[in-house]
Amino acid sequence: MKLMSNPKGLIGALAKEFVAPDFLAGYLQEEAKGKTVPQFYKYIEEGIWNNLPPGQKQFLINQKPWNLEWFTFDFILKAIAKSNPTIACLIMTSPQLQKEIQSQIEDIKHQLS
Amino acid sequence: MNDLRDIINHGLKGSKPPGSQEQIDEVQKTAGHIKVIDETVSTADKLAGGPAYREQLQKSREELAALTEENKKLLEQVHRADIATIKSELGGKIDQLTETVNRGAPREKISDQIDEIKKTATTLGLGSTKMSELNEMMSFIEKLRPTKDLADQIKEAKDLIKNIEPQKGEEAPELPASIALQMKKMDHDLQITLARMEDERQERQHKFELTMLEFKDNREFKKAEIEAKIAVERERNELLGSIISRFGAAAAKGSIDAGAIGAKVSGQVIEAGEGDFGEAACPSCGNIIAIAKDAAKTICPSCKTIYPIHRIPKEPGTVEIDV
Repeated sequence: MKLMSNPKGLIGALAKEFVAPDFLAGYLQEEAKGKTVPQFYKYIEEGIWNNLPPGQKQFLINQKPWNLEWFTFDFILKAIAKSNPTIACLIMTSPQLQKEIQSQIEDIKHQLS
Repeated sequence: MNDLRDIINHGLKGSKPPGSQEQIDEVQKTAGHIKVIDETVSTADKLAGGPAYREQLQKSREELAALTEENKKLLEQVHRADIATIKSELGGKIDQLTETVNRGAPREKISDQIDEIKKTATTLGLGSTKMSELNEMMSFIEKLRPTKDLADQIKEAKDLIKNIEPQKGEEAPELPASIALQMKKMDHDLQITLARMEDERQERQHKFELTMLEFKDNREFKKAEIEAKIAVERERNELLGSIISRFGAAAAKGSIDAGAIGAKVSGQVIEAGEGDFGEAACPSCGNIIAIAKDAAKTICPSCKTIYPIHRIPKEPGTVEIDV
């Protein structure tokens, strides 16, 4: 009720629920597009959060506090599969990569919570 | 006939005293009779149709024809003289009008003079075209106040009168034969050129229509091709999406079950060095497959075939794997 009576808050909530996931998914798609296996390994080693441009980092930080249940390993895998299915298959067959990505998801959630 | 004349003459001489009024009356009366008799005799001769009379008749006819011809010429000369007089009169009237205009006379006076000029022009028997031109000029003069330009207009009207010949019908100038022939030839050439241009235009139109049809066909074909590619891509993505969804659950369990994710397992084994990673070609479809550092299996994103990886112990490093 409190949210409904505050249009600014409602817009903010909508941005969190709809804009931010699409925004991050789009970013991941662009990053995965055209990458080879060694390039992707390098990207993961550097870290997803560290590779994020400062403006986009700030955009996501500005959404705090918010519900980040949507930000999962499955979300990242689906986003990457849309632009580079080979890399998606690489992740699917590599327990090490899965573990690393899962770990980075937790770190990012921690940064944004 | 002579006897009758003698009798009459004798009777006249003998019956009345000479020089008297009675005699004069008698003589006149008798002369009248003689005239009647002469005419009667002449008519009798004519009826007889003698050669002398026929010769005289022929001469008379020739004289009559000559006289008629001369009369016609004279009439024509008179007509020409009349026309020359009228033209001269018209020129004089126009000169008068010019003077009137230059003097800045009242409009009524100008109108009267213009009416007179029109009447004279009508008498001349101008063609309707020339007459209408003259009328237009005169109307123009009548409408405007006299100015210097107006004087020029009147001069132009005067020139027009000078240049025209008296005629009853419309003007129909006849061109010399050579020019007429040349004009006909030019007209013919023009018709041929126009016909050629029309042919070329039709040909261009036909080509344009053909090009447009070809373009439309190509566009339809490319559209269908793109739609087919999009459909294949979508189908592949949907399939991959379903595999990934199922893989999410499988990964949570810690193992990949081919049946669970809807893939098939190949009997062919891919050999790679211990810790090697990179890309290889799928033995089934030739598409690129990825090999992770620690992977025991690899999946082709195109044909969804799972290949077991046999690791050969060696120095670790990034290499391209040949299958």
